[in-house]
Amino acid sequence: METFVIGLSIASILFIVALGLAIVYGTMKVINLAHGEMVMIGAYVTVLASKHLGLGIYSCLPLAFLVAALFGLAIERLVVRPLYGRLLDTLLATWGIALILQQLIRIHFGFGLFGIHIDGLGSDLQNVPVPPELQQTLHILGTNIPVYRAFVFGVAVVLGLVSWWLIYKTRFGSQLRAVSAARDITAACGVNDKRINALAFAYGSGLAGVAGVLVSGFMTVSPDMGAPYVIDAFMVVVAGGVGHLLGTVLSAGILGEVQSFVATWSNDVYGRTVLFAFVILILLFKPQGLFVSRNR
Amino acid sequence: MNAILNISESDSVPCTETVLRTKDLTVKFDGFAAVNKVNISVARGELRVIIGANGAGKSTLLDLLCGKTLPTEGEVWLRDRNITGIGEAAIARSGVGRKFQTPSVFKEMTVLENLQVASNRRTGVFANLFSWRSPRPTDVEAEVASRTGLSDVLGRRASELSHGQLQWLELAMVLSQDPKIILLDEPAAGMTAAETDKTAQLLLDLAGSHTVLVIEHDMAFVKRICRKITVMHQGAVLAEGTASEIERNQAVVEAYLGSATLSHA
Amino acid sequence: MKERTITLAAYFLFFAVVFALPFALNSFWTNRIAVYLVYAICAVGISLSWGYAGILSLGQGLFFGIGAYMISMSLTLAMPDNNPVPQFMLLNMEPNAPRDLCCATPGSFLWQPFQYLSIGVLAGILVPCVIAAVLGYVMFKRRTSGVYVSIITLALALIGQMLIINNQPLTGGFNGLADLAPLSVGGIEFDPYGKSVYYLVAAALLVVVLLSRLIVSTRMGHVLKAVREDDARVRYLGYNVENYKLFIYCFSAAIAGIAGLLFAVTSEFASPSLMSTSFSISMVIWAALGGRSSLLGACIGALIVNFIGSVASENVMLQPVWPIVLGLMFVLVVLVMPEGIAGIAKGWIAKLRQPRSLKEVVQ
Repeated sequence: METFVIGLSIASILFIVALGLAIVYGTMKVINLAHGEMVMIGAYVTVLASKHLGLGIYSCLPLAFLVAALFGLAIERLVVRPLYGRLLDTLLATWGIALILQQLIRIHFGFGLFGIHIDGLGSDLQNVPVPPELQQTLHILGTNIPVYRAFVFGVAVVLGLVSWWLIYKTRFGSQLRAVSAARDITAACGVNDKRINALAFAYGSGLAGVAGVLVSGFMTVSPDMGAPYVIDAFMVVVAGGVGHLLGTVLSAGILGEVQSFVATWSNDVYGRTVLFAFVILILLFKPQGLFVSRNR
Repeated sequence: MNAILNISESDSVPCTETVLRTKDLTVKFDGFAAVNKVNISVARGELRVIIGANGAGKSTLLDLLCGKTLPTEGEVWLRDRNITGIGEAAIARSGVGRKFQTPSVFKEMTVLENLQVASNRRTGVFANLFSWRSPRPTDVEAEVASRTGLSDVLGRRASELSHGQLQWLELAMVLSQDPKIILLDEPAAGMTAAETDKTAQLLLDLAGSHTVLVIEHDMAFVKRICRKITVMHQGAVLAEGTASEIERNQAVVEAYLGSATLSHA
Repeated sequence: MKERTITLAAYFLFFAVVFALPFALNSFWTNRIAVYLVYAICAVGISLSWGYAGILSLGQGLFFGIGAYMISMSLTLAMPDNNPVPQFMLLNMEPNAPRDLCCATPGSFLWQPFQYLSIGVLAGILVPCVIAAVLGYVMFKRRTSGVYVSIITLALALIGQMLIINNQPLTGGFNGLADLAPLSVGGIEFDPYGKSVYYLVAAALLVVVLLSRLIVSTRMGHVLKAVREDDARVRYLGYNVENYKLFIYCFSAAIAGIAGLLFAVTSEFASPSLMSTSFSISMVIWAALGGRSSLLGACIGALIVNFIGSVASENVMLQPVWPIVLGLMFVLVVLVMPEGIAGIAKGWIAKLRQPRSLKEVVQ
């Protein structure tokens, strides 16, 4: 049962990251390989904010969202937009951005070269203090549920609902969906599709930043922590079907649980291997995702 | 290349063998039948035009014929061969040549190189691995180029051609495939008046020696080239006949009452 | 001067320099440049696959790594103290397991054929080819989109890496295979720091480049050029595009395997890091910088990037900046010079030739 709870929190993080990726991929068909670094940035925002500004995790959630969104905006404007339509090249360019971001953290954003060390940056592992109320463990129905994991789940649910509302209930959301479905026609109708792109990218990156905050609460923070998240998130997006919020939820849930159970029973590495193989099969045989009905 | 037959201006072409035949050809998207039990038959040497309003299923029909879309039901026969669902490349090899509405040529290559890719009848990997192109056009390529007025620009990159020339280049490529039937999707689209004239003449020249199936919107153009017209409406064949017969057909008139696709002479 | 002549001259110049270099280098640098030439071989494979057929494989590391491992297995067994069972296997064995390759650890029987060097070499070329054939067949037959192909190849390389790390008793795990005997063929011993290994690699590069150039200059290369621009259209001309892609993909996998073989010979180890994401993706930047559609460009790109990289990693000041430079290279090459150095060079040459070529057209 504990495995299930752990799986749920893994799934929650996966879901948030994947949602961000899905929104970007769904709107622009762009795979942002720097998306994992947005998670890392969110984590480092938490580290720095707690060290230098004395902020706790709660305040870091919106802060990290903002910072990551700003980074996303910059990346979209400088790199993704000029490469619009060149998907393979965008893949490579965002990978380059990921490399740059990782290294920037390692060298304290350049200050390290001059011997200036900013506390909280660099190649060392960092940790984030977790507020005491989240460190508890609840005992419900004979299971030990760490409060923090429940918190993570809660945040994921909130973000999921907010995103759902944003995408399906607001004007921005309908423009977003229109752009994903038929860009040229939507643009011809007067919608500024470039702005939609930028906002989608920013929102997606912001979500990843929030995930980073949550991750920092129970994992050590290091410059290369972000990379695995891109691959995992992409797998979730592909399995769930692009443009399908519910699909993303379901596949994040499934993949999170599978990973947790396999890790408990056999081996974390085999868990990931099986997962990757599974996703390769999906990409080959059902590239529209598992939960999408056949359309033309 | 076969010699061009001299045919008269009469509307009827002597009925010889059937080159293309469809049997209850249907394709459904989420339950909606874009092409609905279409039975058409094109005879050898015929120049057939398909007209219809937007969404009538004309382009979808061509997609089905050249293999771009898989039919939900029905069959497509090329002469005595069932080519339903065998894949675009195999259908092309059987003798179906399609020219697309927006010119799809290889802009990075020269005109001659484009023709060489198209005229190559040996399409296997190993056949091409061990053979080289020559810098000169073969007889086939030269003839096709002169027919479409491209002999002078063989060395030019396709990206430098005008829109009209691109359309002719694509037509030339299709011709050099030595196809049993040529499928043309709005061949005069985007052309100037002079280019449209030339295209109409080209199609008339082709009729007789080649079997051509044309989709068109522009009734004036259709009237200049047409022999037999097929009218499509909502995925099915509404009527067939000569231009004058079609214009007198009540069903056709009703379908297009108020529509702008039939221009009135 | 015709374009053909210029190209020929460029190739000639490049290989003349490559073959002459060892006479000016000490043994340390001879080995270093030999490793770069190995990378150049890999880059040629990528250029063929990406630049000519439009297949961006982000997992060439898988094939490279397999090539390295296959020959490393043979070279491990060629080492006297690794007989009958390699040292690392002894450390991972069950206490009562027989000291025989057939059953020392689970799966160790797979090592048995590698007692022959020829098996190691052949496997290093054929195993990647077979894997590429199977994967490629499914991918191209199903018309998997380009981006998905990249992700699939990436994921496959990661799987390979994980499987190797996780099977320490069989593969040496995280540390890889490092206890290798130097390559010895027909009595000639190839010293990794000597001219023999250098020329072996240089000769292999020459052969790979010539073969690739040959393929590209045939009608097949012509078809590939069309495929690269609009693969759907090529289908309507009667070509089975998937067969062409499959052929090139397998060929580039074999090239990566050959490069891997030579890597193990020059660097004397094989490790799972060769299958890592960053290594596989950095191979792409070598080809991209040099010119993805230019075989020679890809070679030069590999040499330049790796040379600067090694120099940077040894300099205390430059070392922290290098990954940023590398990242910037990715971004800038793709944004500003998509055809790489070769593209720029071709542009200059075209400008120089312009007055002449107009004359040619008029005639």
